[in-house]
Amino acid sequence: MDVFRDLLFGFSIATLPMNLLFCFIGVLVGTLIGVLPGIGPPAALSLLLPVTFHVPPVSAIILLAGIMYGAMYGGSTTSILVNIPGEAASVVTCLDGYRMARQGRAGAALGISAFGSFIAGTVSIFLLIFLAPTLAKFALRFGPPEYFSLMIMGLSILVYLARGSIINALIMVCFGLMLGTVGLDNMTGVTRFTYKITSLMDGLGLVQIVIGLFGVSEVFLNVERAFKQEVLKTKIKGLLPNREEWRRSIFPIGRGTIIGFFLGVIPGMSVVIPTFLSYTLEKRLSKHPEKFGTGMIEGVAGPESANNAASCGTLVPMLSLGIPTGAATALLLGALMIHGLRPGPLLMTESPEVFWGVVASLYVGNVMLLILNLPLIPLWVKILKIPYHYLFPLILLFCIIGSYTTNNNSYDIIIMTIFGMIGYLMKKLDYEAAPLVLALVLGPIMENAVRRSLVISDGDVTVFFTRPISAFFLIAGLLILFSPLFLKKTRVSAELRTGEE
Amino acid sequence: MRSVKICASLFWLLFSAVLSREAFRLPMGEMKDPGAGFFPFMVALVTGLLAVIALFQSLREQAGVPAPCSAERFRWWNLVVILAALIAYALTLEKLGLMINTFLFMLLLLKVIEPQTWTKTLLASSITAVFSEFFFNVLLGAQIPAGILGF
Amino acid sequence: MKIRRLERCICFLLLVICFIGAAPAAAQDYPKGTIQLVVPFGSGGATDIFWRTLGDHFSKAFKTTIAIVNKPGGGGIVGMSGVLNAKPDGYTLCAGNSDTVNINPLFTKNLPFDTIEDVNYIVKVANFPQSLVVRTESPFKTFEDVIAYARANPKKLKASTPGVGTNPAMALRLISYDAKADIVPVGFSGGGESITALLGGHVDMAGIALPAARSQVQAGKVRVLAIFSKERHPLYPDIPTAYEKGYKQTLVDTGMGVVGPKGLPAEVIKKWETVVQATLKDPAVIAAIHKFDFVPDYQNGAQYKKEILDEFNMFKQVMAQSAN
Repeated sequence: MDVFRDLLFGFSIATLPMNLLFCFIGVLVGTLIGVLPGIGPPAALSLLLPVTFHVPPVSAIILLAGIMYGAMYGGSTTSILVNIPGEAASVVTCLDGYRMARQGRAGAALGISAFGSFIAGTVSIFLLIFLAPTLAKFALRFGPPEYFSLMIMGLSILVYLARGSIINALIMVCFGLMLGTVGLDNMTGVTRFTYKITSLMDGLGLVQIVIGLFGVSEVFLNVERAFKQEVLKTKIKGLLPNREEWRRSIFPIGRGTIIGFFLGVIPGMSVVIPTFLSYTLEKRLSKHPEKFGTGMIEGVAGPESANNAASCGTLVPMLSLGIPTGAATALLLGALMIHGLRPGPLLMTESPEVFWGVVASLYVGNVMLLILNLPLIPLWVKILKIPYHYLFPLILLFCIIGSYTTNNNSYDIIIMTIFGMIGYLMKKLDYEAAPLVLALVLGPIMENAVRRSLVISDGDVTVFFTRPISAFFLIAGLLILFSPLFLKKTRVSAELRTGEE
Repeated sequence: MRSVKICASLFWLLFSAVLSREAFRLPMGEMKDPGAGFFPFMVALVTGLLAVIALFQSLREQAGVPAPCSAERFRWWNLVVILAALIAYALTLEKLGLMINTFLFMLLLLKVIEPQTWTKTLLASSITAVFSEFFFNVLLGAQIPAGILGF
Repeated sequence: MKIRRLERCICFLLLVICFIGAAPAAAQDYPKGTIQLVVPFGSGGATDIFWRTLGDHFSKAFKTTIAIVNKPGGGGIVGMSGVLNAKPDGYTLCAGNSDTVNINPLFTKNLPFDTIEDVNYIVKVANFPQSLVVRTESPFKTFEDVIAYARANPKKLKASTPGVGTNPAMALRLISYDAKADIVPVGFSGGGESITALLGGHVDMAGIALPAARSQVQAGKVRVLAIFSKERHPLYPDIPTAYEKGYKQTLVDTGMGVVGPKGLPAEVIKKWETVVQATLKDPAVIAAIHKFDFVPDYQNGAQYKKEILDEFNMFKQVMAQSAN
């Protein structure tokens, strides 16, 4: 097989001592910035970019890819420990991961997300090697109508995401969709709901909202009464997942990987969406859907695998077509160009050492990340032993820095504070934050997609039904939306019925 | 709990009314080229509809079980202090810089919420301040203002 | 004993803090300390990478550090407005793209500053062209083909752009105005999405910055029909310009330069002009700029300001015309 020969060639490049070193630096920096909310992969990539001018292109790209990859590993850490999503892609991990930590299973949650990420990464790399050209062509068939239908399907999973009242969850969706419309409308250039505040022109930042709704509001809840010492001081039981937890996690990891990879391939798809899909799928398939949100390991294993697989999937269009699917891949493309390489279909034939070197280094990086992350787990868990009166100002400081560094704008700290307050009120009134975040991510993609579709089709609405991929997603969405009415076994369906009486 | 729910529903109703009005002021466009106001207006309408459903649901709900009352006193003062501290941090960051701000922030929260001794407070605050400058700005190359202690 | 040790620690920390706090001296023989160059876009974008690369070269020429700080938001407005409110001492400057100052005001009301009056244009460094591209399979072989078809079939052709208020979108407006050819722009979010829509065949053509289309051109996936600069690109002399085909008003480049707050000392501006002019003659710098597919384009402060003003007036006129 040619592929295996090429891959071996790739490994021979990736394991050169210099490239191993660069790979290690990359994944280390990646893990650090992943742990830190706010500073995303793009920021770290651009900071290290000048460093790469003086090394061969392969090493440079290996370093940069390592950062991107490592960030996905680190993202879950703060979600699990202190309920602050390190990246938007780890929002779902908060739901059950943080509950696990409160029950003394932080180590298991961190462990399963490291192993899940590793497995997902490994599988995705092979999918990348064998399916990249075919998949990339398929991904191009996603035009605006397909995006719209896909987003509709994404929103329909809400029926399973909501834990309490469906009506409240839907109100949160609308709230999220509204928040997503703030800022400059990039179809017409009109500013919406900015009220002359310049910092709002680019919209409300996802990171700030998420940090506020999850991290800050949790602190508010914990300080409103005299400190209960047991807040985070439950005895820590075991540092790694036990046999039972492994058994429960293995299928979620597999399913998360598949969902994550294939959705990641679609350009312009946020990594957030596959994680939500994976979570709801696990909840739907579980025998105990009502326990989700109370510390189910499936709810950590699935989404964490999904976000790693998705970040690998985003490399497919980049490597095989030369089109960026997000800020991080755009920067990798830029780096390739600065080093005089031609990203895109020609990369594989013109600079095989770069293409295969990078692919092999992804695998090497994955192994390094696992080795790097497992010993860190006991260290992370120790954080929970810090008395809460010292811990909570540190958590808040972390939230502040995370919000600030996304845009280097202190206005974002205020946005975060406001959403901390909103999140606190929402918890008091039984409104859930997860549907809001999902809607906030989907909303702008959905709105732009529907408007672009109508412009392209000259106002013809049938475009959503006549294009096969689009029709498929619409039908899937409808099935998901109404299936609880037919399958009356879950608590969710009971809720829906009371909602419709 | 019932009255709270009714209030919440009324809030969302008001929210939707205000929003639909605001959205309506934006260009609505046409079917061939929907404008900036089209989507927000639709969402605002749906919000209103949902709020009405929620309102009816809560009106029909029995004034059931009162929420379990916690024995602990509700410390609203803590919330106010933290809110103020966060906003003050945001407003002064560009001028004072990361280290001074962090120092004052830690000092305030450690001293006010669950008062610690001065020694512990000062030590913890200074360590955090210096460490955050070193870790974020020096090590990770973040661009947080150094302020009046700037280089 | 324990407490004394703690006190000593605190004293030491305070000392450390005092040492760090040495403020930069005021400018007589500029530059004496670190120059903060605000890039009003996110880290990792083409603009950011460009300035980080050039920042290195300028640092050497100025014999001081040029620190790049990213302040993204509002198409460059947020970062620039911060710089304009800074002390005019030449140590806080902004690296701007022309569309921030000559297109933004046309779309956004209530900008926090006047882009002509309140901005001190210091020096222009480079520019890069905007282009019209089609897929290789497209029946349109030349720019004239597109114009002829669009004139015969108004609103039939759809062109993706990186979003309203960007230079490529403005280029499409200019074509519609100048060539009387009605092409419908479809705004996407950024050049990546825009070229993806073209590759997938969801639109007929794309208005896009030439550097962003380059890899697809080289891979033979898309064809460049024209660029909208006055002169042909030195690296791609085969690509015609719309200007040479007689569309004299279809001119839009993205100019990149340095701006600052009003009231800068004359020697600061002079210094930048001299340094940039000299640096742009260095073959290594030219090569670095060419790697981005940008063109070195030195203009002193006065020329730079005039160019921005001319473009702004032109765009304003086109916008007014196309609104009716």
